[in-house]
Amino acid sequence: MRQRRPSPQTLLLLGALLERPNEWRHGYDLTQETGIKTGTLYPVLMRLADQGLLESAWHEPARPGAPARHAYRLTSDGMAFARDQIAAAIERGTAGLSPA
Amino acid sequence: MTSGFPQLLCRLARRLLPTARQPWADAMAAELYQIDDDRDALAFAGGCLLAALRERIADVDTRFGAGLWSIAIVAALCAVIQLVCAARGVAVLFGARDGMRASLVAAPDLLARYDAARPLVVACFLALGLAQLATAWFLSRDEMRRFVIAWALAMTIAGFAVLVQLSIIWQLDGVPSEFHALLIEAAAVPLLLGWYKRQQALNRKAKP
Repeated sequence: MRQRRPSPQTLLLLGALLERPNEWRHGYDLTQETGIKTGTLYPVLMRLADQGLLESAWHEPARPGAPARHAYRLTSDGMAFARDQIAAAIERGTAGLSPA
Repeated sequence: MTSGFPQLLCRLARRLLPTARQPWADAMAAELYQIDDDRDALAFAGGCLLAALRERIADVDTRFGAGLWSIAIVAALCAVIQLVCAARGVAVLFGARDGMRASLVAAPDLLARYDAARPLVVACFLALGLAQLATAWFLSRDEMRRFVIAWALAMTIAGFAVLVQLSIIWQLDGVPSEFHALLIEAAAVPLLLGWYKRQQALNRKAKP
């Protein structure tokens, strides 16, 4: 089956995750960093996790009393996928990505 | 942000998310505790609700359930039509005016066959209505084996009713329109169900 081309928001998120691939990232911080709205970000995170491109873990929060935070980073497959898709987007001339 | 409207939105998002996505509800709710600004918290929680709604709509089981319910509602409406016909027939048996009978007065043979078959026709409508209600009920509960049995029963009764009708007037022009509707329903419901089942199987296969 032919794989669907990732949306501009997915590419933007992949780019942000690929910038610091070993670092665990949080949902709210990713919305701030990429400008992607929460309503779009979480479905994309879920899809990437479903495809095995994203790993997640629960981390103790820095704030006392707050619940554990869900953190994300790309898997090795995810990193390869992100590099391929971003390179393909640059080739297509759609690298100027916007979160809107 | 630990209380108020944003928390309420996050709780709604949790209720909306399919069961398999519940850990994501915890993930979104936990992020809300990291946001100090009220407006940011509200925007974030609104986004969580939207994300949950998107996931609910995309959920294969939800879509299949909605499809089943749609077909069940159509089957229930058909059942109501059959039961209304049966009720009218019972009223005629107890002396209410029958427009069809009045138009047949000029043809005594036809009128005699019509009068003789009426109790059987009324019984057919009643049985058909009840059988179709059962199909709607089993369909809405995704009980496929019982649905198939009720459906086969309904179609047998419908076939018998058409034969009774044809024994009165042996011409297709005279077959009432409700039998045409039944014929369409008889073809459409299994086709739609088959299509939904195939879609469900394909979607499940596509998911890792």
